Amino acid sequence: MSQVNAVSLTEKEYLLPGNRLCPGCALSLAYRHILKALDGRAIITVPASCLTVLHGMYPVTSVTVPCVNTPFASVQHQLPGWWPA
Amino acid sequence: MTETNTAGREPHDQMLDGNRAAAIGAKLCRVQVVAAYPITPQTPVTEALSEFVERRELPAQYITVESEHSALAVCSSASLVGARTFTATSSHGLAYMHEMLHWVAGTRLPVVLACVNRAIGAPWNVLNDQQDSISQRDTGWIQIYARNNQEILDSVIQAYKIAEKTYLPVMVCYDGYILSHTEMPVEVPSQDAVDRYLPPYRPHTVLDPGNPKNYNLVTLANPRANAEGVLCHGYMEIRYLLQEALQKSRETISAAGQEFGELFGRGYAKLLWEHRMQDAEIAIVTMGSLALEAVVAADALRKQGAKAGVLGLRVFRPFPGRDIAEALRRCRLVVVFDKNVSYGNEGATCNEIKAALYGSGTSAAVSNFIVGLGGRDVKARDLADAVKGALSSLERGALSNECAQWICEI
Repeated sequence: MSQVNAVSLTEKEYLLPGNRLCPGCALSLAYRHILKALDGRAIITVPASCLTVLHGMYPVTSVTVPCVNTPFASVQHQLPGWWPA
Repeated sequence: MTETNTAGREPHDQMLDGNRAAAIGAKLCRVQVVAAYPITPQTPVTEALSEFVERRELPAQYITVESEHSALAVCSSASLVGARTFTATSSHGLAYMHEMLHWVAGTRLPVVLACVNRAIGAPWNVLNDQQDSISQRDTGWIQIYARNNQEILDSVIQAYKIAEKTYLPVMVCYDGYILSHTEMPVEVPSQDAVDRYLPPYRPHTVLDPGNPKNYNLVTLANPRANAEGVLCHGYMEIRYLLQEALQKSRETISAAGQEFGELFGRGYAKLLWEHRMQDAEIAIVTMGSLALEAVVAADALRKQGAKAGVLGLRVFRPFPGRDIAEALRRCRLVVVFDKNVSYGNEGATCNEIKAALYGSGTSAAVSNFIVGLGGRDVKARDLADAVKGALSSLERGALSNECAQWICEI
């Protein structure tokens, strides 16, 4: 992946407007820019957290990359399962 | 070293302990990802599978992990992206997996797990009983219990067929040491025949950036509309679908067992097994390897003039309640031996058998004995004596239906 900085970030949005975080929470801003930096080349996994809340409530989500929500202690084991499979 | 070559075109007999039978079963199913953490008495399963992978006899990824929770987490993520996965554990390892057992079933992933039944602490004990898997009864997994090492191998192969048709995880349970470390002749099917029996796994889901989906989002109890205004299931509807799948899986289990019989000559169309039950007035009910002692006990009772038979539970979840009520219809005494306890009540299988008999019109008395905890030896004679004791109480009108009796020194 080439170097990405604040200026070269894609115009494309991977986090659509409107999510369930508390108004003003900086997590939306940070996550929006992380997804831009990855430019959609990502599969996300999320432990039970405010990021789970951000991801929305079934059947609606504002996140446009594939995501697997998991319990606390298994989030780091998604990659070792995906990678060989 | 036991011969491990299973690539032959003909079935062949081998002397196998239960752990190796389970590992060879998984290998014949061409599992693609194995993640397991060693625990007594399951350890030889992990050793055999890593050996198959290292020798390149099994083109799979063996993922070493730091806990059983992680083992099942890796299996769930690999299964979610389309790999056929296998794990094995016992006792505390299964308890440690508890959260992921629920999660795998809720995500409807066809993971197969071999549970080598072992007592659970405290106090420490590494020998056999069935408290570990019974304690995971309500996690949404199918549970199959093997009587011998042939059934272990056969059940692992059927487990993938069942799991991948129903999108339900399957636990194949077998008694630690009694089966896991005891060699007996096992017919190992040919790879060709297993390939004919088991089609490749088709995942219900693919993680694809081109078609992004978000799995296991927070889900409210009530149905909720999606962006197009279409009402989608709430948490309760999704959970109902899991229950419905378990209930309907009886037919899939039966069909998988029937087809297995047609191909391999050993049929498993029934969720129960029976020994001399046609005219039995007294039924001994067991689950797992206690079958052998129960059969010897029933035959001994027959010689003494009591019409005894054995009803064995091969499948505990889904519970074959209707079949059990039918099989016990003509009995006047049902004696259930449990290698587990639902503390504060009685043995779990007895509890459920009583529920199955309720309203079925039978007048059978039910007696429950707790046996073999922590590897306590159970002899056929112990079973026969317990049955004779229960029969004598019944005839005196003194059979207590309320609490289980423990066959121990208290």
